[in-house]
Amino acid sequence: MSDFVIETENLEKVYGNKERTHALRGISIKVPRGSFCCIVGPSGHGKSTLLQLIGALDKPTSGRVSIDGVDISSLSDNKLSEVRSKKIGFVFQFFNLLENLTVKENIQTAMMFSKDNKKDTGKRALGLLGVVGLSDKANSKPSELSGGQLQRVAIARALANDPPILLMDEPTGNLDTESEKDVMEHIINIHKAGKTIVFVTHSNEIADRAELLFEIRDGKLKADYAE
Amino acid sequence: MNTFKLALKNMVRRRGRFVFTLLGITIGMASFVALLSMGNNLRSEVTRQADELGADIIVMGRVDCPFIHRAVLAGEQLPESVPREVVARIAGIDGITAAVPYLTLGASIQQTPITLIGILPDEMKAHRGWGVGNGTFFESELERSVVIGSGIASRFELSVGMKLTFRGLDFPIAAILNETGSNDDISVFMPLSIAQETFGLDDYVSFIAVTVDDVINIERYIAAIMDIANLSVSTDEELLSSVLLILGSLNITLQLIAGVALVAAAFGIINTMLTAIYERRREIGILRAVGGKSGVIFRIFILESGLYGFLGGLFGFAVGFVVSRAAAPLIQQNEFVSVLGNPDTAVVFSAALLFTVLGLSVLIAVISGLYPAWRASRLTPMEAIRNV
Ligand SMILES: Nc1ncnc2c1ncn2[C@@H]1O[C@H](COP(=O)(O)OP(=O)(O)OP(=O)(O)O)[C@@H](O)[C@H]1O
Ligand SMILES: [Mg+2]
Repeated sequence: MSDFVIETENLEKVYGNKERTHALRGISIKVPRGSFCCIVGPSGHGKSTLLQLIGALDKPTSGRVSIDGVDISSLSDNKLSEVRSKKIGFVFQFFNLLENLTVKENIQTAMMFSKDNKKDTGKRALGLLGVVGLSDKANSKPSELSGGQLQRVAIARALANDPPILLMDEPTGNLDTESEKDVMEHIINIHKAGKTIVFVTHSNEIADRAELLFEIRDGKLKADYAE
Repeated sequence: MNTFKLALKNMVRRRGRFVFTLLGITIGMASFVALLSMGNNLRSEVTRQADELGADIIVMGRVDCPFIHRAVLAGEQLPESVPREVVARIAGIDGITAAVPYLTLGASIQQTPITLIGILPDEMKAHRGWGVGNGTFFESELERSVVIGSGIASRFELSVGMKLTFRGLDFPIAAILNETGSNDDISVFMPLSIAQETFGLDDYVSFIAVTVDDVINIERYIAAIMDIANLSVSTDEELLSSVLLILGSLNITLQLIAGVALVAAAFGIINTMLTAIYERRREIGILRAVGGKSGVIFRIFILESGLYGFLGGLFGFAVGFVVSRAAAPLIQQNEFVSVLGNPDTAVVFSAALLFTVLGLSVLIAVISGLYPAWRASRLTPMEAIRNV
């Protein structure tokens, strides 16, 4: 198996038909297994787009994405769903929890999509809530939680099927400094437990912690720095 | 957590929309249940009446139409149009076992309309197999009294010896018949000649019920009767199918009405599902983003609309049941229905009907859900990111 858990090759993404936005213009990156990487760059220059392509949420216009050694660029819709379920945990800036379900049910819902992971979902969801320090909120609805707590639930959900990769798009972008510190602490712990993390951020402080830094400008890789 | 639970939780999220959509399919199914069983009950009622008439051939006046056939079956008032003298001549035909005349007249007891039937007492008693419960049956064809059915006796609280008044003349009740379960129970009988005299009629009867010894040769008997008199002659089966024919068209009308209600309910479901899917685009995107396949999304929404069908069918059955019971007396008084007799229009509970209703309801709902569910399943994970 490759040492790189994520590889992209000449990734291009053009949005829209009439008004075309060339969001990515040929990006090739390699993410070593178990690393903590950050993607930085100015607003609107393609960071989220890159993360979404890596996360199999969207398809590239051209170029290749490999996840865990598998080229996902040519996979069917169903296979992509399996990749999202097994290989990737995605954490969004705006939490994206299902409002009418409890915290625990949100995590169980992610478990229910995995073929070989359907047993004891309640117990395992509680375990994951323990990891992010929210055992006592299992039966709360998202509307009853603070921003920092919501993001911790989202992280627990991303871990639902024990994927090797966590993709996070400005997960602390919507949080105050206190909550940001709290959430970052959990993320660092999860990384230490062996997960590869790719993290989009505008915060220099967080970027400083990265083992590998990708700087995106105008849809191109301007530079990458190893620590 | 499973798709069923997700569908259920989604369904009840918008209380108002949930209730009104459910109401739509409930009303549709309720009208289906009520109208279907009304049609079926009318049908079995008419079939029962034809059975009870116990005639192989019916001889009627020249005017021959389903409404007259129906009146014959239901034992209701009919114009007197068959000359009485043909009765004896028909009875004389070889192989004909009985020719029993009926003169069905409209009369009233305590201002309530009833049917009064002029009969030949002995022939009629033998033909109908009557038992006499109370009193003494007519002892002559010229006896000025009446014999009444058990239903009439209990309905108007009558007993032997009491007097009924028709056309200003008093008639003592000579006897009360045993219950027969047929229209005889709700009729009043009078010797034919006395009835004609009382109502100022010529020597005619309404129709003649004929029985034969050999049904296989019925066509021969019919030809023989037609030789005797220029009248309309039908078998009991022809009579029945002629009435069932108008009933059939009534049934179709009723089912069309129910059909319209069901189509409206189906569009209600489609509308609700499309609205819900539009509202939940983002959530669908989230489900897709955390690994849900498009098939799962499809299933969730098909389940939701199927649940509408199941609940709507269940409630619709219950409502149709209750409403048809409550409305049965009203429906029976309706002109349109009452020309078909006074059948019981209430829904009769049966498991088969319940399953039919549930099956149909779920089927309609699932079909209604196909397009919305397909639309939902086409949404991509990117919906989770858009519309922030
Ligand atoms: N779904 C979309 N349809 C059309 N254009 C899009 C879409 N998503 C992004 N874009 C465009 O692509 C470009 C890159 O967007 P992207 O979201 O990747 O930027 P970003 O680097 O994540 O910015 P930010 O730091 O503000 O999050 C932008 O010009 C944006 O307007
Ligand atoms: Mg972004």
